Amino acid sequence: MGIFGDIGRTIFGGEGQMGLLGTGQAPAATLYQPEIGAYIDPNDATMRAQLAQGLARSQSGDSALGGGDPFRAAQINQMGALQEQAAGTGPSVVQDQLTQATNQNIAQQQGMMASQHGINAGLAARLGAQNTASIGQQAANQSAQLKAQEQMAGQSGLAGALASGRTGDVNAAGAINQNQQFYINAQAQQDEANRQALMARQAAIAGQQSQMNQTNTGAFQAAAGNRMGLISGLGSALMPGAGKK
Amino acid sequence: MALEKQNITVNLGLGLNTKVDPKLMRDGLLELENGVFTSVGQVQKRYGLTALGNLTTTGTAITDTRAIATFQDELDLLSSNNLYSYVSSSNNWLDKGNFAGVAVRGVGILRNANTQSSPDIGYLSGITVYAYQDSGGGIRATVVDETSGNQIQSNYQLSTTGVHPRCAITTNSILVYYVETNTLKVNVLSVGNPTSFSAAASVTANIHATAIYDIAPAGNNNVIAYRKSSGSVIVTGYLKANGLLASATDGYPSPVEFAKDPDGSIAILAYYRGDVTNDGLYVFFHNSTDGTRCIIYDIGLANTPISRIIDASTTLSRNITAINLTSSSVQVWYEVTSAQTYYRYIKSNTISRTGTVGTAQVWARSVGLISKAFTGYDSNVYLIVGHESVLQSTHFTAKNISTSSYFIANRISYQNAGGLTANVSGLCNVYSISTYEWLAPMIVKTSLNSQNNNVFSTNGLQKIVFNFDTTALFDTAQLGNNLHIAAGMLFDYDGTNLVEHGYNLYPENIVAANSTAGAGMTDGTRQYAIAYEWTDIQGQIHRSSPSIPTSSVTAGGTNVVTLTIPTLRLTERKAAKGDISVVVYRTTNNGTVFYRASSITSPLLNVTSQDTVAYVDNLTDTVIVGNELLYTTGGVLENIAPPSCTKIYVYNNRLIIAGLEDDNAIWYSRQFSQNESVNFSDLIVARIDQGKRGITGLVQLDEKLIFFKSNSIYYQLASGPTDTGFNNDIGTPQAIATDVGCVSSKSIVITPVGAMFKSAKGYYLLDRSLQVEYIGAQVEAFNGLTPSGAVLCDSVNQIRFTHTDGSCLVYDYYLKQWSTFTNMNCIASRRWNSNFVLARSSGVVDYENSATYLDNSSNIMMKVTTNWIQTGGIQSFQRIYQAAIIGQFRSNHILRVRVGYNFEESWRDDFNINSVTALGNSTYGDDALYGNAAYYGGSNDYIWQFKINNSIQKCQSIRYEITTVNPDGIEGASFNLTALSLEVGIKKGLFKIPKIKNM
Repeated sequence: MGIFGDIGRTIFGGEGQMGLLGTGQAPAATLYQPEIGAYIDPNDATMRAQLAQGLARSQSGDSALGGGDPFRAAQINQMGALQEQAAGTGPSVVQDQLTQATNQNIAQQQGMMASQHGINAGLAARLGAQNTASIGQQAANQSAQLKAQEQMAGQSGLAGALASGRTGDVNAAGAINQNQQFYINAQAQQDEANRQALMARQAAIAGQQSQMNQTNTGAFQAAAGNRMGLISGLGSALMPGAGKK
Repeated sequence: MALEKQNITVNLGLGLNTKVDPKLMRDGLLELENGVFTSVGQVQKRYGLTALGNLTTTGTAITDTRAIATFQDELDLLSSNNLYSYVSSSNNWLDKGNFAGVAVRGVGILRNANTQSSPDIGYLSGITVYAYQDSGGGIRATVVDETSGNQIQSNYQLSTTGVHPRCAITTNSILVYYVETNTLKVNVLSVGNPTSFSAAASVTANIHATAIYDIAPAGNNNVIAYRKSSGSVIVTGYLKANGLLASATDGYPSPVEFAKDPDGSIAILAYYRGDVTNDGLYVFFHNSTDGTRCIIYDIGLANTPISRIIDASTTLSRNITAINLTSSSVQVWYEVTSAQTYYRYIKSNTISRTGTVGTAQVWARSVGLISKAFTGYDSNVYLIVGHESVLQSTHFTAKNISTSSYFIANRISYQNAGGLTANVSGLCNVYSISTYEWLAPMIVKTSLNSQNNNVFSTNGLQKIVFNFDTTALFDTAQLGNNLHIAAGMLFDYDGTNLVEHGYNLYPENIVAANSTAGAGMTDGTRQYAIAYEWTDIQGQIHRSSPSIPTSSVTAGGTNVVTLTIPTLRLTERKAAKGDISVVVYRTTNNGTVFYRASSITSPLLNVTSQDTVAYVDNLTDTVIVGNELLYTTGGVLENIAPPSCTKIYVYNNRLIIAGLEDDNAIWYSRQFSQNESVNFSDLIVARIDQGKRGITGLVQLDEKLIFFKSNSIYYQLASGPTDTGFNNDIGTPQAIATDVGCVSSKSIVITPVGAMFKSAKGYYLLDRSLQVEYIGAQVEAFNGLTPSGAVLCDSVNQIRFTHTDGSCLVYDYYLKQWSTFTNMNCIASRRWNSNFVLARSSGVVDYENSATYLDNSSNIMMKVTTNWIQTGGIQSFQRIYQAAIIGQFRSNHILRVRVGYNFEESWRDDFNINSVTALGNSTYGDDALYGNAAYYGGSNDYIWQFKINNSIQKCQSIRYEITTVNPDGIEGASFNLTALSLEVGIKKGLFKIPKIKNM
């Protein structure tokens, strides 16, 4: 219990209560919320909590794509793979296919050399070795080109992913902004409602006060008269002669 | 009634005719020696010969000429071992370098699904036994009749488990030894009955299972040395005629043992000439503790042998061979092993009969021993050595020079040889099978196989025949700025240096090691290709085939690649001739174009005394991309040195070679390019497999290239492929319809009317429409001569065919007449600076000298013999009253006229007349000018006309021989002959035949 205790709550108002000074929320009419297509009760505690959270999120820039989101995590993993591909450090299907094809080519040309007619074994072996070396270096060359293509593809993919991610984030940020605006609007509406309620309450209170004041004035006057009478009676009492002439 | 006299004229300006029966011949001369037709109807004496000096510039006489050649304006003389160039100013010869001439021919013996190894031969009386191990197990043998090539026994199995066959011969038999576990066995083939071997007999049951043994002839016997199965000893003993080990009971010295274990290899050599001082048995062996050692026994195996270490190195000497250099000195060669076969090498040393050992020296690197040492026809010592690598297993014939040097005489089965010996002590015999030919067995690759991702070759067996007949070698041709000499090995001569054509081996087995020490290349995959390059003094670059590219994958930042490159150790391009550059080409990262990486100005040089050189590459890609490209860029065919050849020709700016190891094959060079050497590729090859084996000659006839075999002729019209091998129109040469071929390339000459050549049936003309004409009928009597040259002397319309063993035949292609020149027996002849030159086997080179009518101060005897003159037909009866000859006086001379009658071989009349007496003693032209003298010719009678009073007037036939018989040293052309006129009367009936001949 605070220093003001219930007396303070009573004076300043509190949750669900206007309080005597009108700083608390005044009960208001429900508000239409376009995001959910429904009316919410601004004074609904749950709704208020959600609004507060939404507002907090929108204000922090976080969104539903945050790290904790499985989709977001998958996207990050994919981005990582694309980054590896772009850097040339990731696995390469094309490389594997090329290696396989190269090995097959080498084996086939060995077979072809062994099948050659009209050339001697030594020449066939030399041509085979030359072809093998040539195939190897051409494969390295093709591999490099394919790798570069893969890197470019990875970079492109990464860029696309980043761009689409960015677009999503921008859209999400827009939604958040809308949410935030909604929350702000809702808040403003709440505040306006509260203000109007407060003003009404204050007006009412002022009327009451006026009435009270009038009442009080009369009473005061009466009381003052009384008090004066009291004081005068008290002084007279204390100074019997001052009262007596 | 007196006969009616009439005059007949015999034209003496006719040619020789030996084709027609002399009794029938009407239109020709029986003999025409040393006469030439300078004008129609007239014969005059040929010009004389003058000898060039035959000393070298160092004063040594040249006594052994095998050929002459011309290079640009040079005259070159080739002896068996050297090339000399003539120095006109000093009239002597400059020695331009050493070389050798040995042709080689390969003939298949066995090629089947199995692989053969460890071959050896025994040759006796025309029969050769080829014995070998077979992958099917055991020892097999093929028996060949060398004359016919007939395989009397083919692939006959002698043993199912035996290893390491060795052959030997006795007086009547060929022996095949082999080892079955610890038993040495022998099968005997009697050359009198070569269809079957004897049953195997046991020679000894205590030979070591490693089968280390050797057998050598010792007089009429054989001796053996082997590693004993126990006791770590060598056993040395004699073998009997039946092949078994001899003992004292057989009348031989009993086998003796020497307490050293020949655990590496063994060789035995005998000197057995009845020379008490020097006869002995030399047993060489490798012992893992002592190194290579020799023990020398006396011939009776009686005394304690001399034992000496030849080489203390304990690195295994896996093959050893030795030969007697002299009666008291032996040279030994031994193959030192190495982990890589291509780094094996041969060392050599000498040892005397008394045990004095020389200094062991490296003899040849990158090769091992294949055959035992043998002495060739030229008395030089030769060995077959072999290089073994994956791609370039090749055998070479190496001529011994000293214990530290050799000369590669030819290259055998380049990249197809079977590698080094499968067994230690596995050297084969080499036998002389004729005057010039030596025979050896050889393992060759027969096919390349690819199975289950393994590439391998199967090996077969062939025989190699070495031909030392250098008179059939040294065909030469100039293309570019090199003279190319087919001496077996093809040699190039650039005017200063004489070197082998191309490179015996191209770089192989390059090792690339990467490190990140120091600045250099970025990470990546690059390839290296290495080529040997050498520039001759004409500025022509000779490049080897580049190595098979070696890949280097660098990683880890800045990189340096160190290449270990095998040197070319088998080359004459070294020392004063200029070392070969080892040129490194490299791709950029992942590139496929090779750029020169090694320095041009500071080249990496080949070192023949080292196995490898190192090259450190730290060049960035950007540095090399402006450098020279490897010459094979764009698919240019790599340069492959051609095989051994004996025939050579230039056609369409290509060098064409034939007479190869495969004697039906023909190699074409790539088209010559300026500043490049002539380069061959083993992909530009044609074959002529029809007809008898062997290409005997080549000649270009108009746009066609003509190939001769001994019994057939072929032609080809081809431009040949581009450097990349495209547009190759070299196909199989087409046969020309004829029944003749060419027997010797030295007889081939191109003339304005076609190509003339000598067939087995005489001299023929292949005219420009490819028709074959027998043009040598008139000189058919000379068909037995051996051609040594054919020279077109265009200034006198003559073609001169010289011979080693007889007259020079001269064909006047304007008059279509033949004559002969004597005193022109020679080993070679050709044109040199418009001169006709000929080389004698003695070393003398003569040239035709138009300033003299003497052959080096000897008189030239011009001789004309008429046909048998028969005025009334054959065997008719005639009367020759007198005859007169007319011609032209040229110089003082003695005229000799002989007369023969009635087809008699002998001459009945012999007249001599001195022109000085008959005509006056002034020589022609010495008189006053025309018009100043009293009558033409001045005071002398220069009308060369003589009457001949024959002693016999009545005859059936008469002939005249007219000659000049000037004493030697009397200069001059003597006379020209025009005609002989006879005053004759023809009697009725036939010539009267003595009654004793009447039937």
